[in-house]
Amino acid sequence: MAGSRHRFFTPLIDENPVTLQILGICSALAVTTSMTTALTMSAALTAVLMAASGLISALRNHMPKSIRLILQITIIASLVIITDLVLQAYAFDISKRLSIFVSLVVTNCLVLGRAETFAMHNPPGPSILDGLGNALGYSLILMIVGFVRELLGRGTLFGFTVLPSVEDGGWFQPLGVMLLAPSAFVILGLLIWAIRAWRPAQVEANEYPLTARAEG
Amino acid sequence: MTHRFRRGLDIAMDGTPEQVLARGNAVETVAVFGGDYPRMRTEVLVAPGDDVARGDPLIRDRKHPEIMITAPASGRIATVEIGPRRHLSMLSINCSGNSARSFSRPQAPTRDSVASLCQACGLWSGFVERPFGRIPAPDAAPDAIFVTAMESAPLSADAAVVIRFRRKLFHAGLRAVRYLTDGKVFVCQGPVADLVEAGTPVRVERFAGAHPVGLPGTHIDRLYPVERGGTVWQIHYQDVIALGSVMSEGVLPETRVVALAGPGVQRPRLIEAPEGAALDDLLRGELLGGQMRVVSGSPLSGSEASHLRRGDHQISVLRRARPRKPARRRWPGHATEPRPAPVVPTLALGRSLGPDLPVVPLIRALSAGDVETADRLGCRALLEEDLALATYAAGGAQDFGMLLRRALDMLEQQP
Amino acid sequence: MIRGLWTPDTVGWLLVAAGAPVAVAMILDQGPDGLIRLALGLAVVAAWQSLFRFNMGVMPAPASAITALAVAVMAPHEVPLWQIGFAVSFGAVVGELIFGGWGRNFLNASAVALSFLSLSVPNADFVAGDAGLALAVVPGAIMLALTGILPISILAAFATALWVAAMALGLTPQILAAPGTLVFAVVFLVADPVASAATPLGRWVQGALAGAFTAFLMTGTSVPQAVVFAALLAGLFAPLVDQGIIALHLRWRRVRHARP
Repeated sequence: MAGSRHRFFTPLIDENPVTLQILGICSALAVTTSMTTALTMSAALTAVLMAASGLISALRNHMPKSIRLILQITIIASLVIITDLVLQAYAFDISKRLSIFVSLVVTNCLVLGRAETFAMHNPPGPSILDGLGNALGYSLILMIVGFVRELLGRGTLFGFTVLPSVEDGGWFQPLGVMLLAPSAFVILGLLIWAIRAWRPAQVEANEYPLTARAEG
Repeated sequence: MTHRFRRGLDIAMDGTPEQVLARGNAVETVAVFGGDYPRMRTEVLVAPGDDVARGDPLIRDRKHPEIMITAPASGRIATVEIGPRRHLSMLSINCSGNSARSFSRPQAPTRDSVASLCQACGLWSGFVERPFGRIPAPDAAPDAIFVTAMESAPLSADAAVVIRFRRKLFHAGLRAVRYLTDGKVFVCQGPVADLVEAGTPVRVERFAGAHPVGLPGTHIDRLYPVERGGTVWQIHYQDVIALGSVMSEGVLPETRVVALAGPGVQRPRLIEAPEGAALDDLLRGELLGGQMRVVSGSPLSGSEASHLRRGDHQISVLRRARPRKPARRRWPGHATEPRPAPVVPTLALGRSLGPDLPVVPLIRALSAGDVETADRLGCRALLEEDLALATYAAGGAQDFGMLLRRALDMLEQQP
Repeated sequence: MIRGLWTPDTVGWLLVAAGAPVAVAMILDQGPDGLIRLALGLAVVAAWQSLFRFNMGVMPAPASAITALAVAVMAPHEVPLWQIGFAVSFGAVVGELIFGGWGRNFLNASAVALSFLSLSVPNADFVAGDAGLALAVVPGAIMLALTGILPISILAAFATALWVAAMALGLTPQILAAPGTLVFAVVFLVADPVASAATPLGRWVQGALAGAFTAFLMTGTSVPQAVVFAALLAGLFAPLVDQGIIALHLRWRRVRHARP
């Protein structure tokens, strides 16, 4: 059980796919202008990643090595199409706001990366757990970035007003820059920095350490 | 032809020397420092109590036993201090008498006979090889030799005055230097009348401008840059004069001409003093009152010392400023070491380098320890002395010369 | 042995001294509001600097006070104080401290802070600044130029390029309407001694780029915002410009000193 707990918890912080491996940041900055979209995207990715990991793991001994990438992508793409259709059927508004980014989960390096590095070598149970852990690690970052951007950019959370804005007669002047894509990069960068300050094991070696001052 | 040097800085200082030559105080001790020969694996050939004549070998290089360092004055060996790794740290001689070893002059000079003579009489160490700034290997042949016949550092002697006093010996030395290379021998002088008689087989180049116009690094960069291949040697005109003395009279000269100057000196002027002379002896009765720093070498690149160091031909006596509180001290009660001060590009820093290299990027690369970039930007064209003015211009926050030496050492060890 | 005066700290204090008359003019112009913004900005900068001093060993630099001054001078009046604090924090931390503090930054921290504000409140009026502000900048600029800290080449290239581009686009009246911010921004944002190009020729190119960018951006936005973004953009291009010029220089050297 210690093994599966490890498999589930390490991708949350210590080996977080976004902040350590810098995977999937494209969608992380596209869908985080509000927490609703971020949460939907997280749910979609969690579903796809768990299902893909489980399926690929179950089929791993039947896949010829030479065409495994095509097969993996076919599986992932099918799952993504199903997820997208489900969203369109039951949450059309959000689906419109997420536009192409749900479909682009296919190309999210995170999904293919877990399939290739973990699911291909492990039985379905651990693979699903690994998929869940990584999806939650991704979701955690999306939610944090979404929280900062929506709160400071609109004064709302999940669409509910938290800080009444000046336009609605409140005091809060929204920080417009938070709704622009670069701010997601900056927040992500600061987040990575904070995590590395907390867990120095993730810090890369300094290539050019500054030498101390000369004597005299 | 005259090369106009448009960069550089004029550093105004009190106590510039009057260009008249006087006999200095009698010197009681002279010393030789292993630190002046950092790459030599020193083997000391004398012991305390031995009597030596001027020109007798004191040290030789274990790797190249033909390269000697010889006694600058006759007397009795007083102390021999050996430092870490059996490297000589200091050797001092109590001066007495005026005996000199006489060297046999080659009748028909060739490259090899002149080189052996230089190595035997101790003047081989006057040659500095670029790139990297080492004493050349005994069998090395450079692509060109640069004789520096000018000075531009603050408080320095006027080379033209000194050379006119020693005209014959200088020419004898130049003719000897001529044998050491198949390439050109450049004599770089200031914008004054020719110091070299017509017909001497050397090329005379004039340089005019502000410091560092007189540094060999500046001349070499204009005439034969070596950062992309080739080697050149540089030699100071006083070493050429000494070589001329050995060639024509068979003995090392008793003295060098040293500029004794600076705001702390009563009568700033040129004096005659043996190499390695104890500065206490030379300065007796010469100083003004007050707290002073005695520096062997120029105010920019010299170091506080007890004796005149090898290659230094000036003594700068500077006022000791109130002890500076360390600019970047630790704050109490905290462990994080402050980072070294940054390099802030100012106009002065941009003008401080002799060779025509991108100054600020180069200095930033050096201060970041990025040897690869520093090499690409041409740091092989430089030696420590070339960066002394940059260190000054940047307020001394970092010693760029030391950083350069570190980079050059790394580059030299790579194939 | 002897050391020149221009230690990084001296340069920093001279920059602060050059900013002092501007601060006075700004407070006279804006009243207590201006004073409060400046004080808040300075307090924020000081807080971040001490945090970085204690945790990362980054030495505090007096020059960072300019960031607080620039935001106080140029930010629109309706921007609330907490956003001022946010912008100054952003400029001081992301523009400067994470690179190891003033002197190792590659972008001007004031330009970073003001761009942040400008993107946050795109429709607000940035302070245009009258001739009084411009006059307050001049003595400091002259002092910095005489001490060799302010790269005059950048000023000259900026002015020329701005004027030419504005003539071509027919924008000269707009320039004349905002002399204060233009002069302030070119001295303290564009002609930054640390973050601007490091080669002499590169400085001309960078100044010209900034001037031309300002003119082009003016077609879509106000002059102060245009000059802030132009400073940021030209600063981003500076390392590239330097690379190109160094490569040309080294090649030219190789050709000139070619030996058989």
